Amino acid sequence: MPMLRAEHLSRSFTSGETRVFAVDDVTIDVEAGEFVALTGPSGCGKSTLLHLCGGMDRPSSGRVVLDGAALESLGDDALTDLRRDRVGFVFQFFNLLPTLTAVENVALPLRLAGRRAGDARAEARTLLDRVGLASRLDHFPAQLSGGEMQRVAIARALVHRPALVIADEPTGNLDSDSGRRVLELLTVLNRETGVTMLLATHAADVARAAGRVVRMRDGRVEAERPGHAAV
Amino acid sequence: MPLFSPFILRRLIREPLRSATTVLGVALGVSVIVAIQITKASSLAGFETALETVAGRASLEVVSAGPGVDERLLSGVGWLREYGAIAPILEGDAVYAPAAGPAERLHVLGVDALRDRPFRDDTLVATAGGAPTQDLLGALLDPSSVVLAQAFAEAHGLAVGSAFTVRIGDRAVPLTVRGLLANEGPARVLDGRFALMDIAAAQQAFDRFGFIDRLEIQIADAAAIDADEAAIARRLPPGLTVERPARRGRQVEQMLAAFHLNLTALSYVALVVGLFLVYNTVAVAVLARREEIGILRALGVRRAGIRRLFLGEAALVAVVGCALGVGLGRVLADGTIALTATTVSTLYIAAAAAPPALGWREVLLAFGTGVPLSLLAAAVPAREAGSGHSRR
Repeated sequence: MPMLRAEHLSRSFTSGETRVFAVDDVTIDVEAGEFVALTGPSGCGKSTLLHLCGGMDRPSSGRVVLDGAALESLGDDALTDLRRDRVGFVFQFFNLLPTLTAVENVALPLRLAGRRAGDARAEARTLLDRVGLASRLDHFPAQLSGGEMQRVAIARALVHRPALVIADEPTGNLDSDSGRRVLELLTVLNRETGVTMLLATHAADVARAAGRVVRMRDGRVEAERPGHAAV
Repeated sequence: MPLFSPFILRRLIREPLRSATTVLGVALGVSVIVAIQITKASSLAGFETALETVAGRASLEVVSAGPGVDERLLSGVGWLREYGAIAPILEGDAVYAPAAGPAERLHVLGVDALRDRPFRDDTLVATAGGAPTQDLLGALLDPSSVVLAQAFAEAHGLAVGSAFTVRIGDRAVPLTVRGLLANEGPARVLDGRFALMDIAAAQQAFDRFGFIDRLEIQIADAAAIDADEAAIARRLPPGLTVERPARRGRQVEQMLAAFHLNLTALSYVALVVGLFLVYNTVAVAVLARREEIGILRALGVRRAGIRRLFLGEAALVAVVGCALGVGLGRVLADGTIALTATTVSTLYIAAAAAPPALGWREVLLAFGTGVPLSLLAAAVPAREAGSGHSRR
């Protein structure tokens, strides 16, 4: 059983009398520990597919099974709990909470899962140290650079040891140097922690870091090939 | 809730102006309610004190509906003396308009000087003879004689022997000061706006010949008051009833109820303004923090958790606002008591405002009103926050 299975997944939106398919009958399996990159032009459905796989949106048809849980069978609260416990998110615009410090942002998933403040903070410190931000623990997001914010976001996505990390254009808002460092970090963490990663990107170098590349067009899977990391 | 402090509290601290405005809005709303409540209690207490003091030691009163007790009926109730001392009373308000300064209401008590002594301790400090004396009868000899509260006389430059004119209805009534009353009893509780006249002179002054307001009875055996009241009630001729002085308090309470209802309604308008501020603050916060709400949803905060965060914000604002409002209400009460005392004295009944008192009742009223209503005001935007989608 793969870590993530999407079967005949479709997501359509209605605009006036027109029905537009953002994702159109996509079937994809991601094995545990795999690093899969979704590529394709803007508007091809990458982000929508990520949201469906991460339980942030519900499909119009088809089904998603994540770590053995069929998402369509879950109510809103259960789906929220599944996101909290088994999914980590990295967004293009970092999406850190501005009123929380770096260490508080990273500790948040653990606190939401009911861990004690001291334990959660200790784990968050360890992970921030791991991503090279030991000296920025008590800085607020506004006091960090883009690259630093994204590294905090990556630490937040991994701190609760999720089954799947979903990253939507994680280097899309960074300069090339910061982007390269974030990509290296994702690759190393995938390799060292064995966490499953599903990533959407425009950047060819990001895609090359993945073990498998899935190219999308017009909401459908156009082609699949091994990434450089798999070679 | 691990998020309340970093997500809500820090934002409230980071935006002090917005937070202060909202807290102040609640505080003002609550303070007006508290102030009005204190004012109501104060004016009623003031009236009751005045009533008790003027009623003196009367334990029962014989009264009649309509213009008052017809004196012709009194000849048939001489048997009332079997139960204790009796004294007729006629009272009314006159308006004294000095040459300078605003007109003042003067509460006039018409008494039978011979019979009134067991009921009231009216200490004369000066009479026409010069030396202080207890000769109330001597001081009220002729129909224009009046004994004024010393405070009132001094405030208006009147002394024993001074002639002055008051208005009663549409008539000008000339009076002469024949004595001054110590600043105690009714004179004190009515802030000096008190005068004594002989009851016959009062009937003439108030144009109520042949009528008195009530016949006061001081029951000889206080322990037998219930039985005596029942017995008197049975023996009184038709048209007369016996009751306790406190009953007049309840009647006035009912009379003041409408006035107090108006005040209460107005105070709730102030609260509505405060609640609108709470609603507005939470609504703006929800709107401004849509992205953050989306992040929290993505990270696994349930809709109910989001709702609780914003309701928590409203509750915090409300609790701080109510605490401030209680203190502010006490301060505000001083002003509203002065304002309403004038209205009550002018429109309803001569009464002095009692000193305002802040008790648990007012504190409970503030929190019991402010907190739930603030939560109610925040419920709509909080629900809106909870219904938002997760971050996309």
